[in-house]
Amino acid sequence: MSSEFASDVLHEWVVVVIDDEPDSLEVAQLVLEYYGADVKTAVNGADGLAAIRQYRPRFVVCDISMPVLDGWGVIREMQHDPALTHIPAIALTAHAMVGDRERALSAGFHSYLPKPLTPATFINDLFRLLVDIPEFKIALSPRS
Amino acid sequence: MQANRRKSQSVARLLSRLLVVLSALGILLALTAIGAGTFSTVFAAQRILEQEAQRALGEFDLFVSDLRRDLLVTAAALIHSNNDGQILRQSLQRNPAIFSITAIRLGGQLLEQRSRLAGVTAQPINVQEWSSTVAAGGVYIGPVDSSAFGVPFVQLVVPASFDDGTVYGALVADVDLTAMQALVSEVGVYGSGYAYILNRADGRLLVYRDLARVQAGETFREALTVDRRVFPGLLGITMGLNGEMVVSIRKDFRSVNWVGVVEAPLWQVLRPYQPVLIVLVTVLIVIVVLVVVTLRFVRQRVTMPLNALRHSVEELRAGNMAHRVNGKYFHPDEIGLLGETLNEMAEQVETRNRTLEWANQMAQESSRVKSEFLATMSHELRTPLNAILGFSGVLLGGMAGKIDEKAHKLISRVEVNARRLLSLINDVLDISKIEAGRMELIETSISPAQLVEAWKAEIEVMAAEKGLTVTTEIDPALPPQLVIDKDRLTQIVSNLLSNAVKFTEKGGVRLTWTARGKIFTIQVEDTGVGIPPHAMNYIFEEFRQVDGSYRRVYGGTGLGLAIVRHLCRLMGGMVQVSSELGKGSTFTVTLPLKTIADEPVQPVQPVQPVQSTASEG
Repeated sequence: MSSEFASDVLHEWVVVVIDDEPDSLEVAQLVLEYYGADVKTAVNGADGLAAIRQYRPRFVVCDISMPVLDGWGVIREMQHDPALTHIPAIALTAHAMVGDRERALSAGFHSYLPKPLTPATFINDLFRLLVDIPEFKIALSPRS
Repeated sequence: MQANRRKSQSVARLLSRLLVVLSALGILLALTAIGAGTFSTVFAAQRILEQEAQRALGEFDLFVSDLRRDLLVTAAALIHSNNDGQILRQSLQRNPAIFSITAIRLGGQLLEQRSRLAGVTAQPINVQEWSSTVAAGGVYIGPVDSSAFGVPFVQLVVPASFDDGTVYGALVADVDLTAMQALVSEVGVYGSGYAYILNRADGRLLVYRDLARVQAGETFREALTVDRRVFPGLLGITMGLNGEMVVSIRKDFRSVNWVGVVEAPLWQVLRPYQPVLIVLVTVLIVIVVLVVVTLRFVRQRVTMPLNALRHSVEELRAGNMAHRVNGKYFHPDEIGLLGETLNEMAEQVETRNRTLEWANQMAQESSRVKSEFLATMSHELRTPLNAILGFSGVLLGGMAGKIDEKAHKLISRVEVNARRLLSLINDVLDISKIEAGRMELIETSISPAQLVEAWKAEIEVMAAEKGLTVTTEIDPALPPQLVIDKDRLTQIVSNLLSNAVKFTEKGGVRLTWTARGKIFTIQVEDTGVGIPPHAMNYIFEEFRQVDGSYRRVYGGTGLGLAIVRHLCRLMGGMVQVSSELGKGSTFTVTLPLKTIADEPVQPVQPVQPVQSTASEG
C-alpha cells in the first residue's frame, strides 16, 4: 500500500466523521487515526452537529443518507452558523447519480467522495480534494 | 378507413326493389289483361250493333229509297197519261205503306188525289214547306207525325216535271211508318240496347220506341258530331241518348237526310265480361296486398334486425364492450341466433379484458416489487462486502497495527475473494436490472480520446504483468464530442479488454475506434488462444465459458459477455465476435453515433431489453 503521505500528516488534527453505517464509520476512523488524526464519530446528523460544535474540527466527512438528520440537513446548519461555515465538509454517498455532485457543491459541501471508501486511496483522494485550502497545502509537503 | 370501405348495399333494399318490380310487372299484366278483355268485348259488341243497324236501319233506308223511286216513276207517268186517277191508284196498289197520294201544282192547285181508305182524306198539304226544295228538283220528307190516325206517318214529296225537266208540281204521299217504326223500336240488342233515327239537319228525334219523346220534338244533336267520343279513338264509346255511357254505331241514311243510331249501354256490354274483370281486379288487389305484407315482413324480420346487429357491432368495435344487442328486434331465427351469439361473444371479450386488465396490473405490481427488491438487495448485498473490503484494506495497509507476512498473505486472499464476490454481485445485479427493464442510460457528452486514454491506463497494468502490449487507434473522422452513457460504454470496453488480456499469453491487445455515418464501432483484438467454432454460439450466454475448466484458469464471473451483449442491445447496438483458434479473437461493438447536435443531453428512460438470441450479440 503506497501512500504519498507520512503517517503523522494529520497529527493533532481534529476530524469529525458522520456515518450511520458502523463498519463504514470504523474504516474511515481507522484510516484517519493511522495518519494521526483525532477522530470524533457520530452515527446521525444531529449527534454529528453537536460534535462539530463542541470540537470545531479541521474538516468534516459526512454521509448523506442518515436517519434523524441527513447530510443535507447537516450542511444547511453549518452554512447558517457563522462559527461553522468555514469548516470544509466532504460528502460521502453510495449512489453515484448525475447531479449529485452538483447538488452537493451547491448545498455547501466542499467536495464529494463515493462510497465505499478504499482504505488505500482514501487519504490521497481526500487531500486531492482539499488542496486549495492553504493550511492543507502545508500538510501536502513531501515526506520528511 | 371509412373511405376504403366498399360502397355498401342493402340486401333488404334489393329484395324490396325486386319485389316491387315483380309486383309492378304483375299489376301491369293484370291491367293489360283487363284492357284486352275490355277491348275485345266492346269490339265484339260493335260488330253486333253493326248487324242490327244493318238489319233495322238499313231496311228502313231501303224502304224509303224504294218509295221515292216509285213515286218518281209515278210522277213521270202522269205526263203521258190521260187518266191521272188510275196512275195514282196503281201507285197505291203497288205500295201498301202509302195510304194517300196527291198530285198538286206548285201553285197549290190540286190536280188529282186518291186515298186508300174511302172517306179518309189525305193530310193537309202545306206547299210552302217544300215548294222551294221540290222546285229545285229535290225530294222532301216531312217530320214524322203520330197525331193523325194514331199511327206514325210521314209526308214524302217528289217533284213532278215535264219531259224537258221543268218542275210544274209535286206528288205528295202520306206514308204509314208503322211497320218501319216497329222495326226500329224492336231493336233490343244487349237487353236494353235500342235504335233511333234523327233528322240530320236539326238533330230532331224522328223515330224511337218512346213515341212521347218523338212527339215532344226532342233533339239529340250530340249524335251528329262525327267523331265525338269519350276516349278519343277508343271503340265508339260515347254518351248515349239516355244520358249513359254506350257503345254506339251510326248509320247515315242514303235515301233521305236522316241519321240512324244503334246504342247499347256499356255496362250491359261488359256484363258477360264482368266475372273475368272481378277475378282480374281481385288478382290485382291480392298482388298489392302480398307485396305490402312481404315488404313489411322483410323489414321486420330482415332489415331492422340486421341494422340493429350492425349498430351493435359498430359499438363493440368502437370499444364499448359493455354494449349488448337489444333483444326487441330479434325473432327466433338465424338472425336472432346471430344476435345472441354476438352478445355471448361480447360477454367473453369483456371478461377476458377484465382478466387481462387484472393480469396487467399484477404484472406491473410484480415488476415494481422486483425493482424495489433489486434496489434494496443491491444495497444490502454491497454493504457487508464493502465492510469486508474496508477492514481488509485497513489491515493490509498496516493501519491497524503491524501484521506478519503470513497474516498478510491470508488477509490478502480474503480480500481477493471479497473482490471477486463483489464483482459477481455487481454483474448479477446489473443483469437483473437490465432484464427487469430497470437499467437507466445516462447519456452525457464525452471525449472519445479521453475515454480511450482512461481505458488504456486501466488495462495496461494487467497487460504489463503478462508482458502484453496495448495499442489504441482512434479514427480521425470520429467527432471530438460524443453523446453516450460513459459508464456503460466503459463497462463494455473494460469487460472486453480484460477478457482479451486474460486469454492472451503473448503478443498484445489492440483497441480501434472508428466512425461510419450514423454509427461507430469499437474493436478489441487479441492474439490469444481464440474461441473454438462450437463455442461461438453460446459464448454470450450467462455463465457459459468455452469449457468449464477455463473458468478456473482465466477467472471472471462468467457474466461479462452476457452483460456486454445486454448493454449493447440496450444502447441500440450490437456486439459480434470472430475468432481463429490459436490466432486470436476480435470483438466488435457497433453503437449509434450521437452528437450534441443530434439530441440534448439528458437521462434516457429505462429501456426494455430485446429478447436475447443465441449467436450474435
